[in-house]
Amino acid sequence: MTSESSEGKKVTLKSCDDVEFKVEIPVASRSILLKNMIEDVGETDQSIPLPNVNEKVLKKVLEWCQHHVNDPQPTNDDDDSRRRNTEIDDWDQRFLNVEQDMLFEIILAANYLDIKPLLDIGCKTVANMIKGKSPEEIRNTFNIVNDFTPEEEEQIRKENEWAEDR
Amino acid sequence: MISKLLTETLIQIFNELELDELFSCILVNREWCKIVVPILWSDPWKNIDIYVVFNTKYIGHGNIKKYILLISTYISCLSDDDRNNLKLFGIPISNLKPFFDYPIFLRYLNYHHFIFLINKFVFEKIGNNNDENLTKLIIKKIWNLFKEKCKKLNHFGLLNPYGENINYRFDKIFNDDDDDSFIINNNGSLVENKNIFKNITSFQCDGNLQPLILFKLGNICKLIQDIKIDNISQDNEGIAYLIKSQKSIQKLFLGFYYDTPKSGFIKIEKVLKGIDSLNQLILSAFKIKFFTKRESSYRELLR
Repeated sequence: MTSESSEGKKVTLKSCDDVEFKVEIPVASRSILLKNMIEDVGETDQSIPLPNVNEKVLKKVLEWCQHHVNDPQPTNDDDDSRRRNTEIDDWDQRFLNVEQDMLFEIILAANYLDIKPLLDIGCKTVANMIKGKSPEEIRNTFNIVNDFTPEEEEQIRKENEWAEDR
Repeated sequence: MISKLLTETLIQIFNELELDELFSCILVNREWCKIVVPILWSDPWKNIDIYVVFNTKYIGHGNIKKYILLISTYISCLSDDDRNNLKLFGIPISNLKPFFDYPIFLRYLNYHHFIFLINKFVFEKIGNNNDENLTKLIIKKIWNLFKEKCKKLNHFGLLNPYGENINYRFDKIFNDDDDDSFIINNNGSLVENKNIFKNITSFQCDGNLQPLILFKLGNICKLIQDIKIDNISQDNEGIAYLIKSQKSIQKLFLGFYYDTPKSGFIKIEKVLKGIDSLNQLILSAFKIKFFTKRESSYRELLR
């Protein structure tokens, strides 16, 4: 499950609400931020503080990292191929089937910890929540207040109506 | 709350959406509108079917008809003088200033889409007494608008569905552009005019495009990574020059058509040998004896 050199070795992560997680290095290394930190610091008994991630979210993110520990690391230059792959696999779908707030927290954490594949599927999940909805339905889904004046809304609709589905 | 996501994350989410879905997002609230409009307007032509563009008999063809409204919005971005001028031709003009300066967001431009829609627009507004001068005027005005405003053009495509009608040909407006590589700014001093094509990374055209245009583009554009040229039927030295002028071309598609000219494609062939940045070369041929050497000798270009 782990690569030979780091088998069994662990690193301690500390959430912003002071909960410590002992994590195998290959699991933590799904996060490019942590991977670089671990490589820079070398072996240490000190815990790595993560001021932007709370216990609940960190636990969830580490669950994802554990499940995907053997995935190939994404490279920097595959932006195009990432975009083309629109499928989210079953496990990930179930994993992200959480309350909206948790979904956004996971996305924020994936962004902060630099876990691109998790960020990608998080964004795709939100995009899927938008698809097929009217503006009003989108506002209701995400609890967004319409702050346009009726005149503004009408003008913007008119200037962009070439893109409307009809 | 979705509002706690970073703008860059929202952009990534919106990039997953189709044009009509982006339209819905624009009307959600001001914050979303500001983020989504640049995405929607970066490639407004992206869903226009090229086969419809090349079959001029289609008019008001469902999907196409709504894109005519795109031209209306671009016209609303013109100067007051220009808009008043068009009013005289009978084009209905709104007095409202547009909510956004839409042309600045353009990143993908296919000249054939652009003139196609303006043609349809004029037909729709003026009807059968289709005025060619009006069409030319609108093409020119919106083209100038793009030249002035659009600093982030990424892709330029130049196929020619109006081969018969020389008036709409790109060289007609491009050649007028000659002497504006420098402009006078507000302080009265001479500054370099950032050419609209300067930063394009992707280019597509027909193989019979006038060499002069390709020479000019070759002098302006140095950063093209992806070139697609189809229907090459002659050893167009403009093609060779454009390819040669690029600093790091990566993808090249060349489609050859009809019989090889007696002299072969020597100029194009020669330039292909000199590129070392290439990582994808596709040569396609229809009824042709290929080059002067065998195709396999070009495989070495592929990494």
